[in-house]
Amino acid sequence: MKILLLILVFISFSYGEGIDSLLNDYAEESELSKKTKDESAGNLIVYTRDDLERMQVESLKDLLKSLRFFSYAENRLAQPDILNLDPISYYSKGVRIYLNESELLSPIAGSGLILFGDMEMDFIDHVEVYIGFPSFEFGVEPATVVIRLYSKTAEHDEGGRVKATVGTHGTNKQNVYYTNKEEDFSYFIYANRTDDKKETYEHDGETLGRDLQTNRFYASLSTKNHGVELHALKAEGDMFLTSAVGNVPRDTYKRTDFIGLSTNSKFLSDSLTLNMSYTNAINDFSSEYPPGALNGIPVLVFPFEYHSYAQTIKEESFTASLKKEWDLDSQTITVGAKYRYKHFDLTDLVFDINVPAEPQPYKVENVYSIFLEDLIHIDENNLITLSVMNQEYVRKGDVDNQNTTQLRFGYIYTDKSWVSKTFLSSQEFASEPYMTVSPHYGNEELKPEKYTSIIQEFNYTISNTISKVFLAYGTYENMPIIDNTFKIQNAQEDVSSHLAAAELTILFSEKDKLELQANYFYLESPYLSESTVHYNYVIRMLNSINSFDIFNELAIHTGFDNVDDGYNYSVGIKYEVNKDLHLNFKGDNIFNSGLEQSFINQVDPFTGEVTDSVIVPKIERRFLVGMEYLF
Amino acid sequence: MIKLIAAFLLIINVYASDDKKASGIFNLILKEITKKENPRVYIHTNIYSIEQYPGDINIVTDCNKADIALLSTTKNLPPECNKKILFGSRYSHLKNPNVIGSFFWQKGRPNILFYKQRLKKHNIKLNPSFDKYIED
Repeated sequence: MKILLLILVFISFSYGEGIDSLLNDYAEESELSKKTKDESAGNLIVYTRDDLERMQVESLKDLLKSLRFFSYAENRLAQPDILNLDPISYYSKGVRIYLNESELLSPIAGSGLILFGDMEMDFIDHVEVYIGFPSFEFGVEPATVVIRLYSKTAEHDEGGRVKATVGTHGTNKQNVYYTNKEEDFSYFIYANRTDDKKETYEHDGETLGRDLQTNRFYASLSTKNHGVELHALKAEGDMFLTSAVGNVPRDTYKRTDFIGLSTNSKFLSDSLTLNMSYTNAINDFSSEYPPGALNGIPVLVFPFEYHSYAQTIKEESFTASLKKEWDLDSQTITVGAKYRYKHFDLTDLVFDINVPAEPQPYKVENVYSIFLEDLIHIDENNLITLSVMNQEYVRKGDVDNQNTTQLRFGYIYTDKSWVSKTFLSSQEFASEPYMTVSPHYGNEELKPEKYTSIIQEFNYTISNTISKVFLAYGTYENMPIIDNTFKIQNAQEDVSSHLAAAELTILFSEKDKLELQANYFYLESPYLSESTVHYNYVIRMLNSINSFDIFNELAIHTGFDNVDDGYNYSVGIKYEVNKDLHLNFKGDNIFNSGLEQSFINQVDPFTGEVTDSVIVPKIERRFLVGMEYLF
Repeated sequence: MIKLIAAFLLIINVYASDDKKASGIFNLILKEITKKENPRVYIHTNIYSIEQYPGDINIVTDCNKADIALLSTTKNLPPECNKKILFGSRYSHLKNPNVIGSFFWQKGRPNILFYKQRLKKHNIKLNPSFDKYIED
């Protein structure tokens, strides 16, 4: 026995392998995504640090544009909204976005995607995307998609970096970070300025823009068991078409000042975690419309004529989350209690004509949430997850409280080659403040939405090939829709959807891989009109030749409403001059044939038919050149 | 038999850890630099991976008795280490001209870097498999 053990120890300590393979093996094993990803938490897509570097991911948009089932989209105000259903101002409330352990939250919209969906990624190490009602461990409120961003760390990015990029239309970006590890703590400091300039579009004699200037500061300080993060953002730019359907603006402006502070702590051998975060945002919006533009044109949103408006929306939130985990023999039980305070004020709204101010039904919402999750390890191949979560939404004023419950059952089978994941869930989502408090399109009577779904995923790995099949079916009750008076209502009819995806990744060598993806999305129309059916195909190649990293991606989108099929071809080349200096070139949508998005401009008041639309590319053609210098 | 399997799994588990892999790389580098199967290494001030899984390395607490000093910091280096071969664990350690090379993380990837002149100064000739990690 002792001899055998010695042999095994010798084998494990033998350093006969070459330095190259040891180094690559170590790099792969140490990927931070391996430490953070949770396969049992849902249907997971991971973009590793290596993926982000070689794909030259400049902003989160670069990932979302070819994400399974989705294509990046914005709303009428040029805000990220990947599930946009124009003319509703925001539809991605179920898409929750996290930076490390804290949610990037917009209390009024429900999800922070509206503010951070196009965030630059220069301080991000890796990204996890959980599609389809993931684990309740993540957040206070339920989610349809969870995007988890993990910032760079001193352990893997010691020292500093400056980066500068210039591109089409004068787009430019500069950022710097520095990170270091001391005896008992480590820190990371980052600052960025982006001037994202885009094409302008003429419509009804006016010029529509989507430019955005962003300044961001992020800093983190970590010890073994505690961390604190500060995140500040100032963004200002154009508001594109604005939410006043039927009117093309002459001039628009929007600005957001955001600050977030969060802490995370671990106790009792990491089994008890306490996370707290505070956010505060002030959003200014203003637009002017040409004189006389409203004459003879139906004004569909506001029941009066006006030529300019300005609004300041204030948002504030505090979130505390306490979670305890018990690792027992054959199961892991996690219990969590969470609290969220949201404050939002939309009453600072001024038109150029005298419009009496309308009171906001409620300005404060308190969310109390509890969850229980049980992972039962039947044997080394079989795992069952059982989860239940409940929230009580307590709203000030005369607005009814809402109580929502989510249930989730999962079965995961794993062996050397196969992974099978089955998730059954029933989830209620409360209506978000933006859907209820607006005096113009909001509805205080909205009922919670309810999703019932079954999701099946198969992964098969053999040699250097990974195959994935994903199937989902769901029904949707009380889906929010716009009625004839442009007020948000719950759909009278339940709608169903089904989704399917097939993906193949071939690793030709350690640094050369080909990814093929095909997916299909079907959603019945809540308006009892034609269903939405679209298909997405992605061919992505990542290659490394000597000091060059080469990236090619073709994303094909077909079947989208009111627009032609899209063929978005992107290419990137990165050259390592030496360890300290890297040069890069990237072209997005280089044939200018990517998917477009159609926004309603005019509707026939008698037939309800759309008579005029504004159609713009979702991802514009642009070319970027840049350099990175490490110090 | 169960004990045997348990012992085997334990070793596999240990082998799979990051620290073990990092220690494996340190072992290979330090043995190559010193040309010794069991080099005596002084660690200033702490490098968890190698302290936890020393492998073939013989950790010494007196720099005078060391073949090489492995650094987690270049600050407050004991004077007796000044004449020793120094090897770093961060990119910034290479700013010290007495450090011949370093094994460090940069841009999310582990890297090894030696400077040719510094190796030459100590009459160190590395195996050709290290050539790609040597810069002028």
